[in-house]
Amino acid sequence: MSESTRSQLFRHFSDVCSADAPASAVAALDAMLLASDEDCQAYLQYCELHAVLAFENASSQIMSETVRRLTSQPGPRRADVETADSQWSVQLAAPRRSRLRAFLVQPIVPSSLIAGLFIAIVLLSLALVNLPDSGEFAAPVARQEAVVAQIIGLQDVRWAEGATRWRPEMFLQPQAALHLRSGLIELRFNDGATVVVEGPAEFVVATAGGATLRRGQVFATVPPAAVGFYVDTPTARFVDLSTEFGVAVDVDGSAHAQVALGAIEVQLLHVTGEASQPVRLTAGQAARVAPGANTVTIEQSGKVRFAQRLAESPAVMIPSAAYAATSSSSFRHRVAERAINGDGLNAFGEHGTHNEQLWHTNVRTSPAESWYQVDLGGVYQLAALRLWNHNGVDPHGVSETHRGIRSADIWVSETGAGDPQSQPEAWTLIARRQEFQQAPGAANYTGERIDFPAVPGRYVRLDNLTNFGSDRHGDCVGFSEVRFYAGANVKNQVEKDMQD
Amino acid sequence: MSNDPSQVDEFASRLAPIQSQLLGYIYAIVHNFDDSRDVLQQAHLAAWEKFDQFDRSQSFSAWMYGFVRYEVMAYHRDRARSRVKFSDELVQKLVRTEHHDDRTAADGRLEVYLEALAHCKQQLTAADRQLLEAYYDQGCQGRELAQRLQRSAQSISNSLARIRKALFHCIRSQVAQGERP
Repeated sequence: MSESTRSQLFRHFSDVCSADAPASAVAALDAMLLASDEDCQAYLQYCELHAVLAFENASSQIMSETVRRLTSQPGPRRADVETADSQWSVQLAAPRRSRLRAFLVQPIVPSSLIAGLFIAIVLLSLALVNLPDSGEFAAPVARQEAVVAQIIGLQDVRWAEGATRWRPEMFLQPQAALHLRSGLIELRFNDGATVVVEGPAEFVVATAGGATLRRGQVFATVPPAAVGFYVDTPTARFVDLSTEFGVAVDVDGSAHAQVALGAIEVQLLHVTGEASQPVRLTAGQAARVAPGANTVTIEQSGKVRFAQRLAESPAVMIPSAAYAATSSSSFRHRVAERAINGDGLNAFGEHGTHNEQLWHTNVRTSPAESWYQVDLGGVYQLAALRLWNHNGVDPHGVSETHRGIRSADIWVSETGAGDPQSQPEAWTLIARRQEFQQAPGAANYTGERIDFPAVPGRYVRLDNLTNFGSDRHGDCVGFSEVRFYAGANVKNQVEKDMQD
Repeated sequence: MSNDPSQVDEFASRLAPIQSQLLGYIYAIVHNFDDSRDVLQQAHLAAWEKFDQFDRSQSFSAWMYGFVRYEVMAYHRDRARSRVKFSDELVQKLVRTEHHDDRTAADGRLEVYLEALAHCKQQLTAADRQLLEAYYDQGCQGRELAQRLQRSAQSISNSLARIRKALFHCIRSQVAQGERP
């Protein structure tokens, strides 16, 4: 067969599969297939490919319909079948029906195809869906690199006119500015340093380990893991050497530093030569750098005059970098890890609607038998969780938020031994049938915080799950993201665990 | 037909690996997925009714194809429902074609096929994969897809023809390699 004839043959194949074949093409294909057994085989294989590609959608519907017919059919379909009418209702009674359904809808597509489909679906989604903000769907790594700090809490804050009104738990990216007229803001940098900014102040986040104070004052608590944390001022850079220190910038631009614990280095800016050598300050010392000065004036420090904590320090969000998640099942790439990796969360703590940036169970499993468990990486005095429920919308704009968690039992364990049923002594039930709100399926979704009496734990398990409903794909349950909080009274423990 | 629950499991487990092939076989003659589904369901029902008579020493695939052929021919007799009408002679030939024989008889054949498909899809360009998934994800509605992508229906059809042909040859090659000792 010539190449052009073969091309024509495949063109006919395709047209028939697309239901676009004109009568002349059907006639031509008819003749070609009649003339060649080999082409007949090729045609059948081509149609099989077409069916396999469509199978994922088609199969479950076919199976479901088959089950429906089997279970609703009162008697034999044909006269030549000797089966009695009553046998259908007996042999396909409920237990049997569920067994048959369980098989008929079981996935038969291997992981390799699933992976291929997933990649294509993600690419397709990115290409076809009208994304509200492409940055929101950036890769997890890129997003995590972009977020360098998070607002922990506010106290009596009055914002400057036109300033961004940050809220607790918001994430901060480089160049995020805190411009407040009065009050206190506590934030945590990704490297581990905690900073309290006291208004009036202009404070700009620079990196995960540093910031710029243009005006006002800050107090930094820097664990050993974050050594090197710095605060730039108009005249000097103050670099931590594992300590607690305060920095203030007056209206004339002069900078003051006071070391409460440990030591810092003071590096003059805008000067060169010998004068640029860093000056070391230790606990109990203070320093002043005037605008245009080429020396650091060291002073004896009096009482620490910086606000070091908020009056009522809020529960601290446990850094998610240490989380590890497991689940009873997952669907394709919507694995447990997807609900702790920050994928889909933007700098404002809002979760997007991409339906691959979340976890849910396999559509063939029962929500009631499903669970989700997080290892926090250390024991904390757990006080709350924030859960962004299933906020997914499929590439066609159809909401899938009914797959979210409607209720769950929440268990906590220090050891994670077994599970609450097999080793109840190792688990503490902190909420039975805790109810969650259904997500809006909108991109500005900030989730829902659930507070509970503080309890020590490292492992948190959501069990006995229910959802908001099933759909044609099956009955599954999941959520977009989760975070956990440790009580304020164990803040130091959190930091210690982070250092460890 | 026995009331033994294990019959259901057995029937199901035997049926699952050949579903797509059965559907493709039916589609080759029926040319319409909706009708193909109906035909396949009828074959399911017919086979289930007779399953207690199935000789376990024989090929389930071959046995199942018997029901499929019967249903396909029954469908074909009602030609008014068929969008694409092959001649009776060709339909008879296709029905007789032993598409299922050694390939479906082999355990794990579907796995091999699907792995080959996954591999071959990875060989496509990202744009081709997107188009392919878009088409099949939307129930093979080429015209709707064309509107959505702001392309002509003919352009979509041409692209799909090219992509499926590439997949077809790639899969053949992959499966052939896998069958070599």
